[in-house]
Amino acid sequence: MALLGVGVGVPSWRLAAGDIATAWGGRGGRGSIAVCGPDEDTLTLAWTACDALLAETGASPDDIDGLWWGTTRPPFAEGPSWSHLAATLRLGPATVGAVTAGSPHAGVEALLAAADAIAAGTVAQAVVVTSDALLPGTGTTLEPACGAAATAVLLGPATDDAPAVIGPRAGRWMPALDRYRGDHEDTTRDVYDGRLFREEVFLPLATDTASALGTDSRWSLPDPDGRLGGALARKIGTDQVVSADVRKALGDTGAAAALTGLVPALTTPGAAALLAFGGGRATAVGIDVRAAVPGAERAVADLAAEGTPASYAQVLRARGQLEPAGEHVEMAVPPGSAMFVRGNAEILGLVGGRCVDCATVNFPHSIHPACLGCGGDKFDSVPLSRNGTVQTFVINHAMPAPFVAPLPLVCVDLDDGSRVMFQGEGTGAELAIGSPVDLVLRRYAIERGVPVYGWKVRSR
Amino acid sequence: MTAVEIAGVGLHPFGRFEDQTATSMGVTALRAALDDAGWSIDDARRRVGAAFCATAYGGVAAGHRVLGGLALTGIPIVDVEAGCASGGAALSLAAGTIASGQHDAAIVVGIEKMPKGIIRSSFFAPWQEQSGLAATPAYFALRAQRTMHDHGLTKDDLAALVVKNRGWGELNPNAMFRSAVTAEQVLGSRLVCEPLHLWMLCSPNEGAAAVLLRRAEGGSGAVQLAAVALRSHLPGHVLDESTPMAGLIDDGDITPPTTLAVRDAYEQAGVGPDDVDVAECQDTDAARELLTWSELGLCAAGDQRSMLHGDRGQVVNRSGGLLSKGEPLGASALGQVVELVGQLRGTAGARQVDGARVGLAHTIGRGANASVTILRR
Repeated sequence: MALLGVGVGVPSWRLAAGDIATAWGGRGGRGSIAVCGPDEDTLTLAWTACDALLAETGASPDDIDGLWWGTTRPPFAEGPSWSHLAATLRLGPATVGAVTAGSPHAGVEALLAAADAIAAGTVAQAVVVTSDALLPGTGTTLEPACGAAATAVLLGPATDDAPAVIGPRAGRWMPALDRYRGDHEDTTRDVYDGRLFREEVFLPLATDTASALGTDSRWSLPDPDGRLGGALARKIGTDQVVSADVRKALGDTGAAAALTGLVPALTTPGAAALLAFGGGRATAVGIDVRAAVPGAERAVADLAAEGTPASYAQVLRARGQLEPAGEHVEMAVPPGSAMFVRGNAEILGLVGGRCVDCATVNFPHSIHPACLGCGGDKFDSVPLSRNGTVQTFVINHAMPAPFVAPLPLVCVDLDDGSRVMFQGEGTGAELAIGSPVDLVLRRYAIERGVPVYGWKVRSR
Repeated sequence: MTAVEIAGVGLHPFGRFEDQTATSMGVTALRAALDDAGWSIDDARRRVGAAFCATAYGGVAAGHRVLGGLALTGIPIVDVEAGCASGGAALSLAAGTIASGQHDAAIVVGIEKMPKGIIRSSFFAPWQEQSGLAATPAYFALRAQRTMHDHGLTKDDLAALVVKNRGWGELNPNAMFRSAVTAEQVLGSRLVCEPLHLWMLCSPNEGAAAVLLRRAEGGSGAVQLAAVALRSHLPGHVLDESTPMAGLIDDGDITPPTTLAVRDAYEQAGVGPDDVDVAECQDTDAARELLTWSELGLCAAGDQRSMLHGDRGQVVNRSGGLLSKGEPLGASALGQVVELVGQLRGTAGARQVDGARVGLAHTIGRGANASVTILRR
């Protein structure tokens, strides 16, 4: 199977590990981790990685008939996670695939499931995305290591001129607890015994698996705590750990760690391999890189982006682990109502209805069945442009819950001639009337426990 | 058509009154209007053919409760809601019953007791609310941002507008905020939604106003209702209180509802913008008043700054405007009429515009509904 391209998504915030240590009376705490802002999660990160992948490879959503997504944190623990991602990527209605979850091993499960589907001929071209935003219990030992990121790759049948090819695989398992979260729990617990885990679970299982692959190559290795990765490298006798810099910059990225750590190896030809660990399983996959993989250079740069420093309190609030006291006024209509459901595919896919009589673009037209311009009722579905200029905007400093101020609202003239209004990303400090902007997928709110997604305006 | 005149006006002050209900404030205002007209309850019972009560938050049959408070039920009583133009709409309907010859006199009362804080509007679609696009002051700021851009205005101009209105509000005993402010204070007040600071926004509050209309009696010397017009936005007009956020069209060539209403009103009254001696206009926020000046024809678009710093700007919102009085939705338009009647009678005291003979009142709000009332003496 050919690996045809790569893209990554990195969250906007960075949290210094020392801030967490200070809060819990601990010492030190080295480096920083990448964490999600209030409008980011595994879906928005996955979309960002896929969007970069499609842009860098020039692949059209119409040519993709498979989508596999590995994450420990699907945005809906039970619900339409996969179809939300498919909608935001504008994939065709017959696209197949799956969400794999349950442990940080889920990323490699998605990769291999997609590769097998292509090998079997049931899928012609697949996007595999691994994304994670680990949510540790507050004050746990692993908390200062829990990061977030996403990496997407495009797979297709092997050809002679493929930039990279997925090679052999090896796996081992044992029914041992590594990290744990019960069905009724929001956050992940600590490893039950650090020494036991290291000596009797992690190192034996990972070492066996790497040996079984039997390759002397550049490795992307798991490193859940910031030390195990180094210990594993020594055990398997390699000094080519390409994942080390990414791990240092972002922290442990869970189900996204194996593919994300491999990204630096995709910029230059040579043998490479990844090793995924979690859920009492280890799996190694060899990748033969024959030429620089499209998107790899940009991905390396994106992974090295500095991000915005955030305080521990800000991160806790964004994670929903720090909540304001007082009354929360719920919206008039719950997210499951018909008023939302009918337009959801259009809102997520950014699909407007162009009036056949007056050409006004109505968005989302399933919710507004009569044209706002002329009252007509016949529309052509049109995917809207994701680029435009600011018509007018506001930075809202007072927003009712569940929205968080400051929140920019922006009226955008899109390049296709439509005019639509969206939330703006970040503080909106760079917005000005007439300035160029792009649209990116973000989480708007969590209303009655349900995440709500939409497009946000970002200054170009 | 029968001419209509104003027999009497009454007001309950605008502000926050924990010991009052919307009904009790309405009763106070209506009794004041009857007293102003010199009518007893029996006179009213004999002459008034209908009553219209403007309110958005008053609940079911709010007008019946007010009229019941003065034992004036028995006639048709209709509640009227048209956003910030509710009072203008009620006035228009009442005037129509007299002009058509149906009734000899009619009561118009506006009452409101609004929740504190940001208005959670039911105007927008649920998905817009869910997407965070329906927060109320944001709409004013979106329009303000564009107004500043198109009309060459700055935040200093918005602050100067607030200084003007609050200066007059200091002289109005019925206003909520009765202290003059400086531009520095306005720009130093909390930023609510860029570019609008807290003191550039009017405050939703409580209050009541009443107007007693009657068939013109000729030679009475009473203030005449020369025109009352109500219009809503044309499809596609977006930078107004209607902003639909979806399927937005360029509104550069679309006439705004305020201009539609004022054209009707000028025609009805046979006057033009230069004839207006004193005006009360919707200052939901500071930029709204400046935009309204050009929409009403009081100045050309882009000439707001020179009007603001000249004498002409000072004849607008002598009451202190909504920025000083606050905006009790159903009562605000009728409150403007009360102020203008005082101005035309020459009884406005320290706020008097000398020799005022033509007064204009304007509101615009959700819908986007605009009302324009022209009074003459």
